[in-house]
Amino acid sequence: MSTIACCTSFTWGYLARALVLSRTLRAVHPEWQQTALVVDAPAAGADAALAAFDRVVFAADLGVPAFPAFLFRHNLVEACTALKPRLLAGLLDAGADGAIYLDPDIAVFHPLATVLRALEQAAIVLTPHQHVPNDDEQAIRDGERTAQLYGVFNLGFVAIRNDTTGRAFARWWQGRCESDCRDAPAEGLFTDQRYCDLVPALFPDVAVLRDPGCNVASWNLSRRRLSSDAEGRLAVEGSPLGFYHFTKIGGVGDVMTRRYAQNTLPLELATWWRREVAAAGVPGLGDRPWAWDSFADGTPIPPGLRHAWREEPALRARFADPFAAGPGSLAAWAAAERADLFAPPQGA
Amino acid sequence: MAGDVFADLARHVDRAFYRHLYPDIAATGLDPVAHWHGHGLAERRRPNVWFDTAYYLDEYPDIAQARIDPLLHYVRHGRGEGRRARPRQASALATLAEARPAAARPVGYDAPANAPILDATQLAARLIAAMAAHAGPLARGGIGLLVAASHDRYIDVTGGIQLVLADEQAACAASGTTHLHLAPAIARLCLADTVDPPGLLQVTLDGVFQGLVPAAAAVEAIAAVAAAMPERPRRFAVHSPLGHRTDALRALAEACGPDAVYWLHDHTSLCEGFTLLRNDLEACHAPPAGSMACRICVYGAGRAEHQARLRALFDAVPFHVLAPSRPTLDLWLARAGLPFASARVCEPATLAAPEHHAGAAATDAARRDDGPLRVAFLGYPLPHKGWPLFLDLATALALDPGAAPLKLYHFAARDALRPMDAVTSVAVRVGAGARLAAVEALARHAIEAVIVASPWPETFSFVAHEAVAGGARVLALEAGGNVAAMVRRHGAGRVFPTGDDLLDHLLSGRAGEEIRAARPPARPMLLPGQGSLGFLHALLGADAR
Repeated sequence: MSTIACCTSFTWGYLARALVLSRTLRAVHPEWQQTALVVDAPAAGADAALAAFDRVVFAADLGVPAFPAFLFRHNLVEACTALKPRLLAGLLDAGADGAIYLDPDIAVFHPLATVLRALEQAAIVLTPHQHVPNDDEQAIRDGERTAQLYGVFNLGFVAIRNDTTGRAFARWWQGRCESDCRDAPAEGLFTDQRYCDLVPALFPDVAVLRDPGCNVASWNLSRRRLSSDAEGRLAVEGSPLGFYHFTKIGGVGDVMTRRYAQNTLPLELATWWRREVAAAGVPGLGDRPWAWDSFADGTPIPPGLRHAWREEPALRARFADPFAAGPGSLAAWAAAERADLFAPPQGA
Repeated sequence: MAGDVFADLARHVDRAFYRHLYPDIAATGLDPVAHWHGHGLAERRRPNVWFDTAYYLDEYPDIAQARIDPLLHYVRHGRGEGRRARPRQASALATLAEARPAAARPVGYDAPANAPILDATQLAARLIAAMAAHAGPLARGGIGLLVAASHDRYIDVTGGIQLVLADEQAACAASGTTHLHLAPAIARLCLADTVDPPGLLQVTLDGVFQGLVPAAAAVEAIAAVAAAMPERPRRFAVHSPLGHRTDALRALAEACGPDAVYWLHDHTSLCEGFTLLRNDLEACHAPPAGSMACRICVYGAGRAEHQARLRALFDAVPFHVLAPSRPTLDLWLARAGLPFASARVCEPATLAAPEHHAGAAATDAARRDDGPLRVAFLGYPLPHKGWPLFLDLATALALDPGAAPLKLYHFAARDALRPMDAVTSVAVRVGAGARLAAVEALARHAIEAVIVASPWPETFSFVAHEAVAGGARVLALEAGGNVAAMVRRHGAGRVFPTGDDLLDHLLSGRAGEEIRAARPPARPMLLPGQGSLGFLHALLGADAR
């Protein structure tokens, strides 16, 4: 595979994580072109950090029709994930032989040889959350049962070959994500991820990459034992550690890591990663609120109003710019007519 | 408190542990069981070494909401329900939270307050006086002045390097050699090359502390001694470079002349993380500096610079490298890539069979083969010495007293003891004047097995040697370097692949029989070495004295 374009998608809050991804990926695959999708408004002071990437695209420049209306339908995670397929499709259109997406909370350790091999043999490469059955009741609940709700494959990684099938997949996925990319597992939806349960059925040439060294995370540690040899190489079940996904480290990911780590290495990796992320932080950006978390006057957007906007065509017809503030705005209307939407959610 | 509640709690609240951890309670004279149940649990205090109150209440909010005694709940119900008394990998997480490069740790101030600061002239005068005090001409090949550098003032600290230095100084005293020891005034477990201004050195002359001296003045004083007493040769030995500037060590080596010695008492010459434990947790085997294991280790970022400074020192000084054991030498030869004049094994102490030493204690009055197996931990209660494994053993016995017939002991300096009801604490301090204090204490208590579960490649381990000389079998880990090697070489115990294997063996109930069957009829003798002096005398073809 001659040219690989690799991309990630993040808000300023995840910039430090994305920089750790960029640096660790560059160390093993300097030949890959790195594209950053910033799903946030441009901010002063970011240029030096963003120079780590070969190319930076801001979400507003991605060509999404009726962009403000699109954004208003989504919370931060939904927006970041909904734009991934369009980003990947763009990389294929630009002529890359293969396009790879990696979540910003991934770090790369050893060369991703099995990914490249899979991409030679298949048009679409996916990694499952788990690749070996569990036998412990809690691990089944935390692993397999969760995958049944949130998706069999983890879409923190996907690789697409630039051929008819690959492009068809990217277009299909883009269509689904841009029409309905919600965090609603009870309805059979989980952002961009749950759709991909269908991929092995809908498309030919799909590889399920079962390399235990790829996409190691707290959700598969119960069946993936890490090791280090005398030369300092890290491995998982005997395969080189390609990339580790630090899902929710610093939160529930820590609990899961402690629960399933089979030795100290996952704890060490998580501690190392948190240290690296802290060191990569850009002052003033890491704790900056998401640009589209509030109306133009800074009032936070209640999640219920995003829901109403998504569900009620009349609202979308009436308010061209849902982020506007002041008289005649969606915000003013909601404050007057739908005060219930501003109430804190039950149980909070 | 109902009688049955008190009875259950009395079995699991560790009174000695509680009083030691909470001196405020000890001072009141309250019974820890009553205090725990009445106040301690609400204050989230720890009732024993294995129950983490805060964890249990946070992990199981139903217990917190029910406002019941969490320890009582655990022993009566929680354990059977599969609940945990403390987080998984609790000790690893605690170690990881503390792991950081030496330069990021607070410095230790080691020099006594108000110590006098000597200049070059004053130090030279004291050296010349000390050397002149050794009557008569030196024997052929004798050394007039041995200058030794290490990381702390050995006369006041208990540890392996310090014992070697004490033995070296004693050998010097017996050979007419003056012994000058230099340690940094501020203790650091890293090289001090970038410290500005250059620190002072502590001066110990023939085992007596003199004061402080700037490194340049020490070099000048040695040069003055060389000019004044050219017939009395000088030599230099590095026992540890930590806390020193490598340029100062080089200058000292050059002032002392040829045949400089470098000891591999730890793995500082391979990595600043001198136990070769990645993140202070797992044996790393000193992989190449740019390896992935180094990248995720707290010592990785500084390793290349650390190695470059040592390389500059070794390039400038053709050291004779002395390894306390064969595994240490083999590892160093395979991994260091440093130039050297010679490299060999030089054991800091040796075990000698009793039949070869008239007067050796062939048997002990205290020795007996009855009752529960007497198992000890000897030394500082530190993770890299295997203390967490000993605590795991104590915990297993606390939760299931009938698991195996074992009686546990901890031998250490008084301030290093960690009192627990189920462990007999024995204060013992080994030093120059009480070289065999640990050996004798082990024999006195008829200890049958000592757990030396160091997870890192120990270079020698006085503890393991003291255990054998004390009449005990050594239970070691495969990763333990010379501990495992000496156990195998002397047939002195058993080596286990993992800590779990070691615990399983002890708790199997068969350990006692096996250990008692394997004990030799008499204890070997532990004979101290001569530090660098024995090697230097051999090198120089010195006449025996």
